[in-house]
Amino acid sequence: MTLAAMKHTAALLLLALTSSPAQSTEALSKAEATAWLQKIANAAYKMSYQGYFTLQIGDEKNAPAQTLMVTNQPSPRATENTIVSRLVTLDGSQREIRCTQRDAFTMKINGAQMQVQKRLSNRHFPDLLPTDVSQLANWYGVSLGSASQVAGYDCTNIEITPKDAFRWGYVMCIDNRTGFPVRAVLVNEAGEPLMQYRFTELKLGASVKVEPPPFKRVDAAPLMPNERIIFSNLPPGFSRIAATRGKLQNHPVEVEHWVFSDGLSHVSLFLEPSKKPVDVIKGQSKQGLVNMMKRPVGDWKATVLGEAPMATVEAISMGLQARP
Amino acid sequence: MSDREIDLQLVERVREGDKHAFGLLVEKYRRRVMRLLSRMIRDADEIEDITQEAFIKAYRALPQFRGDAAFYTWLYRIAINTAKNHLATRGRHMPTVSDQAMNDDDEPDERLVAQDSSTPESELLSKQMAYAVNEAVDALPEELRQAITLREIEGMSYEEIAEAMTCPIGTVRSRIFRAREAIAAKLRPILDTPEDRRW
Amino acid sequence: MNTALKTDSHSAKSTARNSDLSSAMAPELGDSVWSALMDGELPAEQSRTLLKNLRDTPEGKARFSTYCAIGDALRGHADIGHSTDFTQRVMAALENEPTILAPVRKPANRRPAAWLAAAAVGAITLGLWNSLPEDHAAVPFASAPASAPENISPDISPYLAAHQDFAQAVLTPTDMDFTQVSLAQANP
Repeated sequence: MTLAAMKHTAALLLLALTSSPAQSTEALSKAEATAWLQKIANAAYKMSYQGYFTLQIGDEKNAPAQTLMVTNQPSPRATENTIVSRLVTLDGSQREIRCTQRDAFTMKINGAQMQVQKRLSNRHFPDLLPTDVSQLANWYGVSLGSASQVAGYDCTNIEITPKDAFRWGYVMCIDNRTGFPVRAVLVNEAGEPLMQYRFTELKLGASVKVEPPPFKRVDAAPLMPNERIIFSNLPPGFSRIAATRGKLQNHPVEVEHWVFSDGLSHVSLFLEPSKKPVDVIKGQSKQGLVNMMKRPVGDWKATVLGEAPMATVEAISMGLQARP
Repeated sequence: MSDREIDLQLVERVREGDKHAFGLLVEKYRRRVMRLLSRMIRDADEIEDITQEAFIKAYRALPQFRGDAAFYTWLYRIAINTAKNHLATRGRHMPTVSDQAMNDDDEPDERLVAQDSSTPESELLSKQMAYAVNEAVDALPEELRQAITLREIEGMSYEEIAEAMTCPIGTVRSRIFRAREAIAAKLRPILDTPEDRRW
Repeated sequence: MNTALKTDSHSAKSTARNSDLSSAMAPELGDSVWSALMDGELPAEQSRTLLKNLRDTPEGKARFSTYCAIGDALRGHADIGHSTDFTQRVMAALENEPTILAPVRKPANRRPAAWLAAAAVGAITLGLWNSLPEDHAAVPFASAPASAPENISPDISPYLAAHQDFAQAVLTPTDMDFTQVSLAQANP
């Protein structure tokens, strides 16, 4: 383990234990780690549940938590059109995400108008882990931490600690009985919490009727990744997992959106033709959650950003080249 | 008034999903509400039931509490209305308490004489309490007695008390705390709350 | 009277500190948090922490209750009826009530959070990076706060929104204040 990762582990340990009696964490072998992660992922994807969770970015003083309601009802009888899960915002503007087995749609409601957009993926909290976790233990160490209680569930803190400086970690509090994540905190290299999901109310195994009123489905633009830009030297464990082309909100030109991920961390790349000279710019969001880098690659403007250390954003950005 | 701030913080906590914080608000205001209702209702059990109902209604209505009025003022109105409804369904007339009982500061006027509405046992308990508390206060060293009196009876803030007693605010905090602990020690035999009664 | 020397560091500290303490066994000032909390005299940060851990602090709750009883007795609010377990009964009744989730909306605080003070997020001038570095070591941010923040969020937020929509399934990214992205000065 690198020094940075060791510091990180120590910081995570401290974070997880702030309000409980001191206990040692138990570091797991790769095989055990994978088994635990798979248990958590299976619980999140396969259980039926209904609950309310809050999403807190950074300091509560700077941005109040968002509250969302989520239901999930996987079913062996689901067709490709059956809605199996649904998220609804409870504050801010009215939006919903509805997911089938394979696809997902965002619906925005503005008064009488409803706008439907196809989503790149059907992941949502509490599905922070990928369905196949087999590679994660290469990049993250897993330790069992202190006991806790969230939303009335007795749970255990699981520390998912990065093994290098290219990613951030999570502390996930998982239900002792089912492995379902009831709380997840994204933690940076200094042990600072950047973002937190937490269920405030949760019924596991609830049998809920998810089918909401029907809506008109839309299809995404066909995938044709830009062949003129190639990427290389991705940080260990990262690969491109999605690519799409389309128009972004409040943005004049069509862009291509690629997503790189190691299964847990996600970094996006946006490519668009550049008309004027592009400055090289790096930045970090106020709450420290998002790192960003923008630079020209051939005739294109490449914007890389995500919830990952700057080293990762930079490596991805610098690894892009125009095909000669 | 710094008292309002803790109420607002508690309300905030409840609205963030923490029901336990509401328990503190109940503890803080339950006797005051019951005393208020005792002017309208004679039976002690009824008073308790209506008070409980008022708190539950307040809990449900908490998302609508805007924090521009004092929490107790808002709770007071809910309690009065609950009692009125209760009396109305039983066909009784409302006694003389009305919203004119509120004085200029928007604090409910509680100087009206309480009707006799307690059971013999509870009367004994409350007499015991009052006796014990007063005795304990009298036994306090002068600076502790002054501090707790200015705080609880005059309702002064720590800053105001510090000025009145010419001492630092930290000393005020310490004195009030020690006064409370000294009184609590004397009350323990009366107040002893068994584990299973804890909320 | 010689108070027996205790190995407990608490009593040693309090003896040294408070001149008007009547005995070395006086409680530590740290114990006075619940007393200060109920008077509304704790700093906001501290009372938030205390309240967050309320569930796990039966002793704190007991203190709060006792202090309420004392204050009420002093003001003449006697207990009526069999109310010793009144609060317990109310809380039991509330178990059947849905949890309230209606957070108080406060205006966004423009000051950076304390724990980000070290990162030069406050520092913000548009920086040009003239030479491409050979190695990929992270270039440190400028540490000296410069002029007023240069807000480039109109440029970044569509990307941020699209990314977050994928990564976090965040439904209303543009509602979130943190889409403010500022620039750091890249040191050559």
